[in-house]
Amino acid sequence: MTATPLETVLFIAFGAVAIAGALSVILARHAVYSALGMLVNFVALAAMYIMLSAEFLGIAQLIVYAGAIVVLFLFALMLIGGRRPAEQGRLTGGLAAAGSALVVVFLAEIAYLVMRLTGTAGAKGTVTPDVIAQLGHIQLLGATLLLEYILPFELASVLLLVGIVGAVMLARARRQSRQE
Amino acid sequence: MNIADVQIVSILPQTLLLAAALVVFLADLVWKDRKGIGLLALAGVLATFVATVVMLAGPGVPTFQHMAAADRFALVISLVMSAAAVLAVLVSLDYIVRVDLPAGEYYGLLLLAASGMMFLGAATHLMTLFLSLEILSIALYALAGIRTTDIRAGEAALKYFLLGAFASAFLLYGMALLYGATGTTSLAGIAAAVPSVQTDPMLIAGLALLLIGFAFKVAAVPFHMWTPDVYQGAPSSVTAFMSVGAKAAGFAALVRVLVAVFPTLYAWWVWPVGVLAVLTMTWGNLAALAQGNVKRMLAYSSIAHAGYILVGVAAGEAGVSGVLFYLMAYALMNIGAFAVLIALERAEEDAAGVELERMRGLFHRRPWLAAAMTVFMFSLAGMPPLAGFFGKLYVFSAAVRSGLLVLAIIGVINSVISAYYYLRVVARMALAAPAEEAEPARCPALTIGTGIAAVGTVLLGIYPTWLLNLVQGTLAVLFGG
Repeated sequence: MTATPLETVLFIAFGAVAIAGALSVILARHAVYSALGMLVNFVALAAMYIMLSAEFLGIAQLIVYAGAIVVLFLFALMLIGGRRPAEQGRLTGGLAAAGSALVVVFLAEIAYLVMRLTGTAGAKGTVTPDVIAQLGHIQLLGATLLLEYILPFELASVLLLVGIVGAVMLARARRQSRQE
Repeated sequence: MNIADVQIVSILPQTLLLAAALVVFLADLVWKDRKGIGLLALAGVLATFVATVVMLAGPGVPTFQHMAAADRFALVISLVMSAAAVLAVLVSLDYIVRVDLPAGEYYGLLLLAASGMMFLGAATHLMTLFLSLEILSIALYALAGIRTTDIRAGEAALKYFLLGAFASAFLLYGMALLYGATGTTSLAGIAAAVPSVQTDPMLIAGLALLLIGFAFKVAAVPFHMWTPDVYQGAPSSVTAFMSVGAKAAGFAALVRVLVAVFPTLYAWWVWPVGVLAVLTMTWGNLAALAQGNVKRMLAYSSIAHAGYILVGVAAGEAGVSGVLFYLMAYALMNIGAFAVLIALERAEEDAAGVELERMRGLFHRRPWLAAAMTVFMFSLAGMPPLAGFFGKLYVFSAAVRSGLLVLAIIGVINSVISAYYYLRVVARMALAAPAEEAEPARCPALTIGTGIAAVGTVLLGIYPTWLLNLVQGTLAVLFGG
């Protein structure tokens, strides 16, 4: 399956939007703009998932990340007063040099891997485009998650329960002691 | 695969604990009786204990889809955990009312932590391994800080949380490298792939990171920095459970990963584990010598015991049954020792644990309590014929059989050093009592808990073969067949 010229153009366009969104997350002076930049990034990523025929993942990305997570971020920012511009602490001297060096190394690493792995076949699983066309993403994903991986799936929900109970317990106790 | 293949029976003990935790959380909403909620939790852990015993006696059950095994190894760990949880709930019943802790959250998190520990003992897949480790860790972070009015407990919880998260990152990175080197996350799959990749640097690096992560979790020197403050700052009943449970679960996973997955790389991991064992034993014992606070002394003693158990781990396949025996013996004697401290502890002035001076004259005031403490101290020191002696005997003799004579000798020297600070407690109890001393707490549940621990410590020493038969040959079925 090779991409048509239109697909290539769209892919590059969405990719550019995603990168622009990601950059604005770290460059914006207001935290609210950072959150909105993240929204742009999430939507562009969702579009790319859909182009890669991972429709369910794309929709989930839109609903969960672009919808719920960004809204939560905005709520949190409004609660702590995010409209005030953040104190900009710029890295200077040795730290900046070390950071730049790390970025260069990381980029080179990724570039090397992409070059080396282009054209390698990779392991083939049982889930081929034909199977997906027959059963659909949601059924395949659901079967994997709730049959093969049901134990990790359930353990993850227990883990969330533990986290919620622990956090509420510690936070509530602090509020009570402040009121006294 | 379809839904009928899901073998819920193989995770029965853990499921019972989860159900009990949910019942406790719900009951706490409508029922304000802290003793009552404690009794609910007690019913849950007793049911788990019975289920584990029945499964151990039964014909054996299949694995839970390569995610968790119900093999003998996992069931023995479940037995240790449920025994520890029963004792922990018994010693808590009166204590949490005395120091004013919220019952629902306390027992609920305790049960969830116990279920996480059991899942860790049963995990045969990196995913279940990591998730269950996080369940138990996060529940214990919250439990360590449950006494929110005490700044020391807050410090303990934060320290534990930060270093624990750090350790989890090590583990996760190690797991990612193992996956990268072998292409699978199931332990059986990794074990099958190891001989073909052998000393691939990625595999070795993954193994090393995994070892560091577990060393943090079981508090091995030099990854022990959090232990004394956390054990001292947490409420004593939590410390009792955490020092035993988190350690047993961590060692269970470590043994399963090292011995069952990497037997062909034994020569690579035996020396790091051996060095860890020597450092842990020696540092734990030397630091314990200097402590004037019994709770803090037991924290260092717990580090030292992790060192003895590491000797058994370093012995490889020969050490597995010794490690399991040791974990059971340690659960009984250590929770027992903490139970005595809980009886002595007064809510206000002993927030940081009982000072050694407070043990003075206990023989004259509460002879039975003092006798129980003597049993626990003698057993922790490794005196025959108590459980602790046979624990040490089995791990040290396994080390000798594996050609690690040096480790065994260092272990014996360390036991001799440790006898000094354990016997110091006994000597202090035999001195004349000061007149103005307040009466230690009397509570039937605490007495029963201390009694069970003491009788268990003695019985395991007199009839060690009972448990030994149970733990022998567990290795053959580490993946549940």
